[in-house]
Amino acid sequence: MITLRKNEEILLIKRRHHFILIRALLLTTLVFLALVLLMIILFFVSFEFPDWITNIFPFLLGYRTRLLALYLISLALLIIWQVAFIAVATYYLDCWIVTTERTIHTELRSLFSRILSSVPHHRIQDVTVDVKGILPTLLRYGDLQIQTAGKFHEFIFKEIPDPYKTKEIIFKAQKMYFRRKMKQRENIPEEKVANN
Amino acid sequence: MANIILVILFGIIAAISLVIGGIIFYHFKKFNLPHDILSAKILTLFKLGSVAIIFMAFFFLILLFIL
Repeated sequence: MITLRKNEEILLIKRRHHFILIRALLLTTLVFLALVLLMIILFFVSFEFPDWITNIFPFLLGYRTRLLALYLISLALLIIWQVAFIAVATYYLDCWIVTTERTIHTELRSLFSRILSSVPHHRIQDVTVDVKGILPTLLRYGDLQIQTAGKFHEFIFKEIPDPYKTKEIIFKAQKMYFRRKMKQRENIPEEKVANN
Repeated sequence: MANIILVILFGIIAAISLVIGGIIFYHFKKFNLPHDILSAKILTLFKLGSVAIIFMAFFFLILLFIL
């Protein structure tokens, strides 16, 4: 679980636009529904394998064709279910979190590869928004890149909704962060500052 | 021979599904946000769907041998 530091609050959580998930799941969903429909049809309609198939695979004559087809379709459904949920997990666990202290990026690249990185607000130098294409413009999603000082992992919020608004929130969070740090410094007694 | 192949096929696909399910659960538990209700719902849906489909496949497999 992503753990927050003491007094750290989440200001914003961004995931990719919903359209990206729909696009990823469209073909899988269509195939899943087609197979379910086929199963329903098989419940009511019986069929036999054509002779040319039973000539090649004579062992098929020993099985009820309807049951065999239902069994194989249910195995295919299981595979498609797993594929769909890998896509859902990849979408859901790719997120960018802006807190009062830092920006966190977590991304599931594949089942055995993931990234978890963070950049504190005082390292952010610039934020760039990139909206390219007809669909991103119409649906208002795009990339947001955070340019950082030093050797930090490249921070790109990919295909997020309302990237311009997100940019404003990051700048506000950075301003609040600096104000808080200045207040903390003002509260430090003068002897401590001198000793340090 | 064909019966054995059908059983092995079921075993392999069910085992792979359980492994993939376990990995997905691991990622959700390890890298999710605290108090995230939606992720709990996603995991429940995934778990129930996987179990239902595995049982359905097993049911058809048993029927294939009985009938």
